[in-house]
Amino acid sequence: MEDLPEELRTPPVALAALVGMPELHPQISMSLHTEQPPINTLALPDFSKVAVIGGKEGAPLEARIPAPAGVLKADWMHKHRTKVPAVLAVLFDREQVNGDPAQWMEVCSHLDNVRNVIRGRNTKLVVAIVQPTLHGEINDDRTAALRKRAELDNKCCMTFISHDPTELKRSLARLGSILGELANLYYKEQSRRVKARLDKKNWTATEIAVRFNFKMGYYAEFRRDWVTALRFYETAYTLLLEVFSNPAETQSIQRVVELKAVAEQLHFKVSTLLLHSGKEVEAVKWFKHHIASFKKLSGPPEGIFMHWAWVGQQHHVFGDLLKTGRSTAPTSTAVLAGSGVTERELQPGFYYQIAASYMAGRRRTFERAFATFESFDNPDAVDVLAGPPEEVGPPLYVGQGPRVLSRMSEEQSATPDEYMRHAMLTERQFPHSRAAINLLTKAHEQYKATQATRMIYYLGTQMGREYFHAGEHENAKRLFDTVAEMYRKEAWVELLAASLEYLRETAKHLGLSKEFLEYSLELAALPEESWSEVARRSTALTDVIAAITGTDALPDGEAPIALEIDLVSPLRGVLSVCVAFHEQAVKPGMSTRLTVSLLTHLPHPLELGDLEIHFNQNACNLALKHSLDQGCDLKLMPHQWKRLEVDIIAVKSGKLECLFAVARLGRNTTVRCQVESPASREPDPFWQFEPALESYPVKDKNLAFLGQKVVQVEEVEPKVDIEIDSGGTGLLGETVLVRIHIRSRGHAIDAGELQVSVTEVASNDAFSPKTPSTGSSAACAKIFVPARLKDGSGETLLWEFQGSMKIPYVEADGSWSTSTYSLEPTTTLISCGVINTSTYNARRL
Amino acid sequence: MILCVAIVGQQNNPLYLQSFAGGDDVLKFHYIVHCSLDVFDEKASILRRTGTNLNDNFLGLLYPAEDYKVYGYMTNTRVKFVLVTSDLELKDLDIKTFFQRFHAAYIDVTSNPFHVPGKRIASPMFRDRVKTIVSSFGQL
Repeated sequence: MEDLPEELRTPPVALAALVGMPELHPQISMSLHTEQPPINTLALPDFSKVAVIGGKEGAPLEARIPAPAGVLKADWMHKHRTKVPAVLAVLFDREQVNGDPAQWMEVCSHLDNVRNVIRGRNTKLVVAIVQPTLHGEINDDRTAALRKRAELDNKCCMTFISHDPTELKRSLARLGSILGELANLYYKEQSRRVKARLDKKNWTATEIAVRFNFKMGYYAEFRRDWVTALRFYETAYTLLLEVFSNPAETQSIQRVVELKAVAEQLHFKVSTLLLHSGKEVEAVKWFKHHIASFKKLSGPPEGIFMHWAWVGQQHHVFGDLLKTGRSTAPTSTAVLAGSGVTERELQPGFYYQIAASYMAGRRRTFERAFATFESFDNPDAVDVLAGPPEEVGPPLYVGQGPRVLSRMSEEQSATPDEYMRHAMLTERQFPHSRAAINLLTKAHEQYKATQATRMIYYLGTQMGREYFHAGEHENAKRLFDTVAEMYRKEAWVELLAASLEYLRETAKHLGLSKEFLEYSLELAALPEESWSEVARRSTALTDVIAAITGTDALPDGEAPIALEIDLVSPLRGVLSVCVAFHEQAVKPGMSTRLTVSLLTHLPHPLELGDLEIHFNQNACNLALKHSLDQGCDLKLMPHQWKRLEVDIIAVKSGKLECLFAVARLGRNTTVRCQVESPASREPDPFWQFEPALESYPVKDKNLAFLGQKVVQVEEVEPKVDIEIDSGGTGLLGETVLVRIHIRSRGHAIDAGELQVSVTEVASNDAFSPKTPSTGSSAACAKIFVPARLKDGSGETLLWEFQGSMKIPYVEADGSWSTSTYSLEPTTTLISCGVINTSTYNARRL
Repeated sequence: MILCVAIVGQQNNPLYLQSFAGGDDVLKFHYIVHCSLDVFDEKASILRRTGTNLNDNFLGLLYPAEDYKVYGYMTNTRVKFVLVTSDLELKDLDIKTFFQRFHAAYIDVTSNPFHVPGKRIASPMFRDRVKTIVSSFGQL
């Protein structure tokens, strides 16, 4: 909006001129400026300068108006705001008026001179006779003579008290009131005068009607009559559309540009007045009408970039108007209902964003037009319109090009070739991308206040494109990385693909080989949507992938590329690895089967050079090499699981977990891929919505749903098992039979000692593993062993046992049993922790 | 003229998008449809805030986009239908009727036992049917 002239952007303020008594001018000017409505002042230091406000005599009403050279005069508004006062206040000193005849004659002469000057413009006149205080008389005869000479009403000839503060204030207020009233009258009369000329219809060109209506609107604005101003501006706009009745393509570029510049000014006035009167919905409707009326009037094709510049400018300016003119309170839905206007259209960001789109269109069309221009233009031709100010003057009419002052007045306008050359060369200097980025930034600021998240990401996309075109690849990459996240999250394939295309290019420009490869692979692994007409996978992309997976050596000095694919990586479509142990638990040293399933969504078969599977136990790591001779096929077909079965032998007890797989693509690229369990596998976010039938990583249904990448490796099998069987619960003080079985596993036991002890355990601790303590156990129970009496009676007695029990030879996989008795004098339970005891004792053996 | 129709899933993922504009502007419609989801969210948020129950699936004009107008329709299961048109003077009733027919076609295609709900619609029959609905709307 700052590009528009000040006199268009701000409402006009009535202009009054002051002449005589220059020492009072600052005071009067300040007072008039604070009037409601304010009045601007043109202070003329002395009577000799009065001529500057003079003008030519207006043409008689009946005079025929020739076809104009333009629609609106370029400096008309500026002239009426700063040079053509509505009213002139002439200040005479009382001493001068009352003075001697010479002084009186001078006063009369000044007055006559002033009247002659302002006669042509119909400027109103006020005469103020200045005296310091109320004291002192004014010669009434001379005052009357003055009034008569100037043909003034009584109220237009006033006394101005300059030195009494109270009276000065009163005088200033009175002067302001009179000047305001007369200014209002002046603008009304001017408007009537224009209307009368319009009604005479002494014109044939509609441009005149446009101009006259514009003037009447502007005069109404001087009077602060906004409703009338709006009506005249709307009429002018409608008439301008009639001027455009001829097809725009058949008119010269200069003509089309001029008419659209006039339309812009009229539209600006209408929109401003509507917005300032609180009619936002009407303003939006008017804007839509404005764009609909002129958008198709693009003019000749070589100048179409100027048309898009104009359309974009309309949106930009309207966005600014909405931003400054719209009330902060949101428009109620009741107002919007049935109006055809949405809340979005009341947001400035909406227009900034569209303006940025047109800026991009402007750049594209200009690049095409400039290529053609360069081909056909004379390379020696000079841009005459870019000359110094003394040679090139501003245009006479709104929207017209500069004038070549060195030529005759009729030939000062540039020829079409000169105009086009100037436009092309000027446009070449224009920073399109920077301007678009600024617009998008403004739109972003506006949208941040709303919930329009996706629109903000779209703005990011547009901004990224502009950074890319401006060669700011780092900024472009940063933005596209951000927006790509959003499109990944919501699985919008085409939008992600478009972002990835740019990301590939930015990575290429920035020399980021790894990123370039990642973006290329991700792009290639996206679903190809049959219903989409967007051709995404270019031949170039296929070539890139072929080069990666090929056998070409890297250029000198270039490091191999190591890609990482974790469970949330966007590259999961490129390669995902799923592993499932066929068993849940395994003994150390025993072999267990593992299914390794590999999947790629790349459009072409992917041949892995070799594949390493890594576990948390390094000894279990294995490497597979692609070799058809050895039955190891590592060629992955698109969208099909490649299932490999391998045997793993765990070495240590505990947990054996498969961590990741490293695949080699060609000679230069490795992919480290985190593995998943079939049971907890998350599908690829893009491919989960694809209609293709879902296949499982493992054929076995149980493994497909429950398979894990972890297997439990149990403890090593003991060499000797010792079991203690207490025979159940014993009573207090009862002697309980305890049988001890020793069983050897896999080898013979030559001899051994068995230490038996009884420990007191809490009842809830009965089954917990516990190493017996010989020291404390002795007190809780006594152990007896049966012994046959040597007297030959064959009776067996129980002998208290102490020390170690001798174990005889036990052959491989054989067993030996013995019995002991436990006498329990206190509340003691025989420990049932036989496994632990046996283990402990086995170690002793 | 109807330029594009689209169906968007419950997770805001595209289920179907068909453009009738031709040329290289298809990507633009993807952006337009995606941005229209903001307005679905806004409308849902307003309804939640005001405690209003949405009795009508037709959400009316969502927003204008340069030369287009974007209309929306949401099923009870939060599947969204979007229509992009270049005709600025359409009647709401006509668009509502269009959406109802479009919705019926969607119900039919999802009733196919071979279709998995939530997956992208790739049925050529559905595509032809949508084309017929659009052409019978008198815009093709």
